Amino acid sequence: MSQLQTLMHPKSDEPKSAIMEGQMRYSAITFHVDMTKPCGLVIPIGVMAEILFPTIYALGLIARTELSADELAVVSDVSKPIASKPFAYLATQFNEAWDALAPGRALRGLAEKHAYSALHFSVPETTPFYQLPAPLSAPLPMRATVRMFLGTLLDERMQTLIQQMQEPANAPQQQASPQQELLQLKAKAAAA
Amino acid sequence: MPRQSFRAFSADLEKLAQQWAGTAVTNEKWIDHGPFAQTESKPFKVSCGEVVGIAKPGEKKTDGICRAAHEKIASDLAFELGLPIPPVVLLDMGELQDAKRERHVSISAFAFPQPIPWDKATTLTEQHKNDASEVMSAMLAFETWVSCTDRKSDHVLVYFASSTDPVQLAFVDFAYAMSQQWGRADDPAGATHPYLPVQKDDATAKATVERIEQFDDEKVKAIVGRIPVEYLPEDKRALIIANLKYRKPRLRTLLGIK
Repeated sequence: MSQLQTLMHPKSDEPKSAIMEGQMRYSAITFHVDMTKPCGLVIPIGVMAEILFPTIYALGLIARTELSADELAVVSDVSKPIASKPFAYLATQFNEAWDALAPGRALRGLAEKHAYSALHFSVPETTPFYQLPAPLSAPLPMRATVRMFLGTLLDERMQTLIQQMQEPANAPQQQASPQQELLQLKAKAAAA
Repeated sequence: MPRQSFRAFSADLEKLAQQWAGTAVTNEKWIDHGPFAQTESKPFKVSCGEVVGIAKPGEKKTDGICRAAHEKIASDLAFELGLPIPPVVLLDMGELQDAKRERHVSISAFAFPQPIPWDKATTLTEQHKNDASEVMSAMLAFETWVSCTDRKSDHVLVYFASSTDPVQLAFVDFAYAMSQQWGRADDPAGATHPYLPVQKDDATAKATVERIEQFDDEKVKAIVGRIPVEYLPEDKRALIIANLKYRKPRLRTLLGIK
């Protein structure tokens, strides 16, 4: 089941040029079973990403809705409220950051908040700039394009994260547990 | 009878703490695993054998704040006082290819397998909160002594494997303390204000203040004095030694303790 939320505001600025350059940043979210060990087990949880253009800002989240029984068995009681239903927890964090932080600050703010936590956000990575051709700079096609870019990035990074955390190549592939996604867009990005 | 120690670390971690409390700079080879968090000091993860830690700062800073030295001094003082700051050791990373990286860093060992920041620990029992109130009261006395004022609940890590276990706490991030706050040898810096939603335990605060008052000035000089000058210039060293001595008899007034 896919849960998709969008929030649209009227575009308030005309683009300064026909072609706009943006930034995309993402952070992988993982649960570390033992942070005191150099090679402790790491459970893939989700990905959060943001897109920043001069006139639009988008934030997205994709995460697992639950952990497997084997995974839950190694989660401590103190961590269970935030790790056992990852999407539910991360969605509240997502919404709080969306409401409270300026455009372009949400991902960094959440990564800082979880800096020392077993539920960990990787240091946000910036992906290459995307340039929109002029006809797509008009409001409606632009929002649809941004949503597409963001959704694609989330799916791709989530797949990569799960593959990286898989057992060695000769082990049977595990089916990924159910996931949910959440996207928000708003007009007029602040300076990053 | 007041508690002598508020540390609830594992036996292995306390063994490491004992070792690191006896040395300023490690001469072991550490592996750099890359950036770990997005916080101001740009920490990166490191390991040496089975020991894993967070090293900082991850980049050269031009603000003159002796982050690594402050972390080391706070950890060593806390070890002597039985307070729950994870062990810290200094590391010289040598000549680095990336000119933006800082060579002289501190390494803070991970305290718990699955730490959670205080405000994410939503299943704390009343007993956990009572225990935390004692620890918090002791730490406020210490943080006032070293003038670590930039405190919030994110700096308190919580762990218990089972909800019936006692709560374990670790206090982290002491970069912004001591010579970062003090401008002169008799600095009038105030108290650290409470930052966790727990009751204040006056008896524990008073007992901790008494222990700090009795802390040997020569021991302070030894802990601060052994930090190499690359981490702590001489003027800041003198400032820290002077203020740690100056503030001891003033803690009661700062904390409102009779």
